[in-house]
Amino acid sequence: MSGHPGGILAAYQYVDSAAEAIRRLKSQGYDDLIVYTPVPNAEIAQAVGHKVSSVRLWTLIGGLLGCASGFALTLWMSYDWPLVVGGKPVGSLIPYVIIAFELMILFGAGATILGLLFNSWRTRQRGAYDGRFSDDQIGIFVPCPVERRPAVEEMLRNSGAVEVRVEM
Amino acid sequence: MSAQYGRDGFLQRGANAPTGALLAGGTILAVLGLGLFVALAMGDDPGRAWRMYHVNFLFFTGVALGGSVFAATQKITKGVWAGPIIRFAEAGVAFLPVSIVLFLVLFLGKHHLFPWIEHPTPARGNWLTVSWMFWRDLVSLLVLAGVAIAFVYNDVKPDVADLRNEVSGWRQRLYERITGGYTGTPEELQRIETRLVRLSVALCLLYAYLFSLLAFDLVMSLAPYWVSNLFGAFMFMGAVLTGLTMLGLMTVYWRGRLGMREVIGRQQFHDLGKLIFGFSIFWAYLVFSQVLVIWYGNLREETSFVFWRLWSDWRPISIMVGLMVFLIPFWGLIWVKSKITPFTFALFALISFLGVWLERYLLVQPSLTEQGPAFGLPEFGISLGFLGLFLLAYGLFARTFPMVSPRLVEKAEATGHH
Repeated sequence: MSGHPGGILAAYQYVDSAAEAIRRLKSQGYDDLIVYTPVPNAEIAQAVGHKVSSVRLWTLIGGLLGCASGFALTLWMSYDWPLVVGGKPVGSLIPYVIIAFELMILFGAGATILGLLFNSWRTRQRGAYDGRFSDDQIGIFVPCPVERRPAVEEMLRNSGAVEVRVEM
Repeated sequence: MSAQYGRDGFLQRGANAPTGALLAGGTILAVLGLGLFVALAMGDDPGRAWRMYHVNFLFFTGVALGGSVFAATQKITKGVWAGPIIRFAEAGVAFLPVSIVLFLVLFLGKHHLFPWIEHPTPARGNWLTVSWMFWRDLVSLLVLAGVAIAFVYNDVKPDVADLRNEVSGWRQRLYERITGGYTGTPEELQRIETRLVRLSVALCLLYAYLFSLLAFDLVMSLAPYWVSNLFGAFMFMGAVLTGLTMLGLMTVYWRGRLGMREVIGRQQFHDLGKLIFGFSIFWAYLVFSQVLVIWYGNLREETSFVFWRLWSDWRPISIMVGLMVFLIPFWGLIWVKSKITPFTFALFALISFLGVWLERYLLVQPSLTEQGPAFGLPEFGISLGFLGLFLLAYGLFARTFPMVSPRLVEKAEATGHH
């Protein structure tokens, strides 16, 4: 017994046929499919019905936080141990912009990774997989009970799948 | 291709762009504004008039060149999304011949503008002498205008060839002349495409070199002891930003008037919005990277230029420029919704456009006058006069040449970009 619900796994060679199969499955009410693509593809994403990801909000908040931290860190450090260097003010905003900018990038990137991990974890789903889906083929896994399987298998084959197999 | 209009529909619409408002408005503004300029230049304070003339000459030459440079980048990168709107940017080249005439007129006001004429600066050797500077800048302007016009000429040619039997009178004679032996076979079209790419590369490279030279000669030499190596790049990238915002405003203007809501949609606004957003950040980067080095170096001849603008009467103008070119468009255009909504898109494009104008004002004025910022009839009047000249030249282009290229619209539609 594998760790995922039983269902049907189909492999596709072409984007259009995979997208067509996804649209047909969706129209028949199979909403819990898992689709694997080796590269991002707009047509597939549209067929699956992906909404705009919320990860970009994580990036924005991370970036702003980084920018604020950059200024806070440098100013706090300067005034905590005040040294006059080269006749410049103790807290000099102009060069601190660089540190604020770097921390903005760092925090923004970090927050993006955290957002990605969080969102993947929240929407995780178990299903069968095949190594080809990270190489050159598109995979669709349809979880479905035994009695519906022949119909789904038939439809996937008709829509141009190169291989369809039943996963227990 | 949108089923509703088809190729012929776009040809007709593009060839008969409604230009009445542009031409009338442009003529009125140009006549009033330039009349005011002549009156002021003859009056008590000719310097004030010439300074505004200089600011506007720099700004509008930059807008015209920036628009065609953007069009050239699209040919180099084989970008098709801008196909339906590219002519709105290219039409700006009609201002370049005007700009050359304006430069010749500038020669008359040289004593009011260039301090090194009366007080020669030995530190700059023979570089800053009247004849050497005016000759090299005139040749630069002629070369830039020549390449930009040749580029647009070749891009317009296939569309003009399609239209030559649909127009009459002087336009037909002009179209026949431009078309020449061109019959529109795929080989001929291919030859034109190749030539367009070559001209685009030439235009972009020459633009970077020669506009830098113009920036050094016409802006940096106003404070002849001040030097910043990056200044040329800062000026020409700012001009590309104004070319983009001009294109954005013109897209909003023409979209309904040419009945192009079908083909100019979300994609074009979104992409242009992203470009304006990106160039705003790049502008801020170029400002900062100059300020940082000058601040650290703390050399008197370098800091005075910045000091005079950031800590004197000019401070409010500097803050306005930072807000209008960077912060407001940044927070305004960061959202997808505000980029794809024509109203907000146009609003932020306009703020950025005016912001760069104010930046050019800030670069020129404090070098030449002891007084603080002044905004009165001379400033607004002369600027509106130049705007009028620009709109007039633009309107004449739109009246003469097709403003829509069915060939480029088809290419954009084929990739689903709309």
